[in-house]
Amino acid sequence: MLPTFVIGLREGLEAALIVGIIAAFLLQENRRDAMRGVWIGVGVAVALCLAAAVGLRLASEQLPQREQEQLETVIGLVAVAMVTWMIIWMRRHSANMRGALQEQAGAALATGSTAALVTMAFLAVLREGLETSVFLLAVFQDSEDPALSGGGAALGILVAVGLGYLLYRGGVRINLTRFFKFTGVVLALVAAGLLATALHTAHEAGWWNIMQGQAVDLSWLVKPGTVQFALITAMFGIQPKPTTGELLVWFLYAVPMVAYVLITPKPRDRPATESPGDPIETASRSTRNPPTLNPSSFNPSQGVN
Amino acid sequence: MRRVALLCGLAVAFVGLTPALATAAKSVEVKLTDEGCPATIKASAGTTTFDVQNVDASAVSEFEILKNHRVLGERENLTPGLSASFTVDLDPGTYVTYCPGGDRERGKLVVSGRAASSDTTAAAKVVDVTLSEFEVRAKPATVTGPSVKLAVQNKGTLTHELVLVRTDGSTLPLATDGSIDEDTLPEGSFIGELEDLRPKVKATLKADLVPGTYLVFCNIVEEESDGTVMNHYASGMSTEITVR
Repeated sequence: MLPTFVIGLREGLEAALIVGIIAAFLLQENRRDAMRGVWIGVGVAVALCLAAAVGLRLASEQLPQREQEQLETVIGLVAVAMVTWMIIWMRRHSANMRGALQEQAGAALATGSTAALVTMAFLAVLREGLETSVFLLAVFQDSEDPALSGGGAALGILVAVGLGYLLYRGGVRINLTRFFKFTGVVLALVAAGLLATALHTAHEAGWWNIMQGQAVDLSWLVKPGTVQFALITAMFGIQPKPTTGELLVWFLYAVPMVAYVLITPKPRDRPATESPGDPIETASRSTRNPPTLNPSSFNPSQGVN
Repeated sequence: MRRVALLCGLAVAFVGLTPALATAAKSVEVKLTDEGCPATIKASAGTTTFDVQNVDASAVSEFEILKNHRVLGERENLTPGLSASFTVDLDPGTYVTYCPGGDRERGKLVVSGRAASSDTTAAAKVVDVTLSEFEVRAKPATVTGPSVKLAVQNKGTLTHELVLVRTDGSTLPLATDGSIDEDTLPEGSFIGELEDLRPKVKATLKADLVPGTYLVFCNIVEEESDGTVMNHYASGMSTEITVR
């Protein structure tokens, strides 16, 4: 039961994590209207994946592994771009506003960006869903003890969904500034993990074949086949034995991004003394320019000490 | 719109896999245990199906076959009791098997069989092939098979390569960059290649060739620092050889 639980948890969490982050972010930005789109996107993706898995099984076909890895790589890279954009957006806002201004923040989030986030939730589920559906059908039909193995896998996915939901609830409860403070670093690590995972799947897709030497042995921490392994690999993209390339992109992304999150931007045109929680003072200078989805339009020096 | 595009992509992915069923391939059974990969798996050259079964390995759920760090085929998410298969075209040689999480993470796959360049006792007919910018010359252009030896020399100033493919007059598939798409060549048409031939380097390529028409070409595509792309094949680096 444990091996199927671990795989269900890992595959499920990779999708639940992204959907949870997007849902919390949308709600923080007061785009409750977009939530319906998120759930529809997730539902359609799940249905598509199950249908594809059943279709493959009826045709007695194996999962096209290479194409599946290619799909994971492309969507993984899109997710990295999306999470990066979210971090930049939130940091800019946490610098220029207080929690009381959340409603206006919602208005500032362009409809196009919201649609992109909804699409991302759909893609995130599609990315892991296909492999997971094929796996689920296999354990229920081919295992020696289908109830136990299948139950384990299903339980793993349920726990993953539960964790994604907790993340969403937790993200909704705290105000935007603190949401960013607490989760900005985690988001940066998640995105770094997504990038490393994308490189991992790119290798399995046949797209990336250099720097494949084992860099370090983390199998004491990320012990294969354990729950710990599922959690760490799914959330932070850390493999038990990461390759040089995976480790390199992880650090190249994580270090500057975490630094970017941690260095508090100095509010512009503002006296040094702050009165937190004073909505009137803050509201008087709420000029915000929402970043577009194009990362090149972002200027890191802006608003940094 | 995006969703539609993605669905189409998935559909293409599925359609793309159907031709793989074509001929009955040899099959090799692989059993995964917590010990990891089998130390050595033996197989013979040709299209081979690997039937991977996880017997009782709780920490191993993946099996890969690699050559030069390139994944040739793999299966993931095989929990105890599950089995799955994949098919790989094997040339003679030694491959690496990879079972992440097992005690023995890497094993060997030894593929035996007749190599394209067999050691025939009969004296091989020699064809002198010279490479330059941007031309391939073969002398003589017609030889008697089966044993043929290409004596290759790079007389140019750039690094070249030499690929030998059986065409029998047909046009070879082109990749989007205008080079020959070596991944979609008709099955069995690829004979051999010599890579990374620097200026003045000499090398030989031996092969047993059935009568027919063959193409020798340099398939290098390189991008200069100023952005111009140099496509050796498209620039004229190919010539035909006829084997009788």
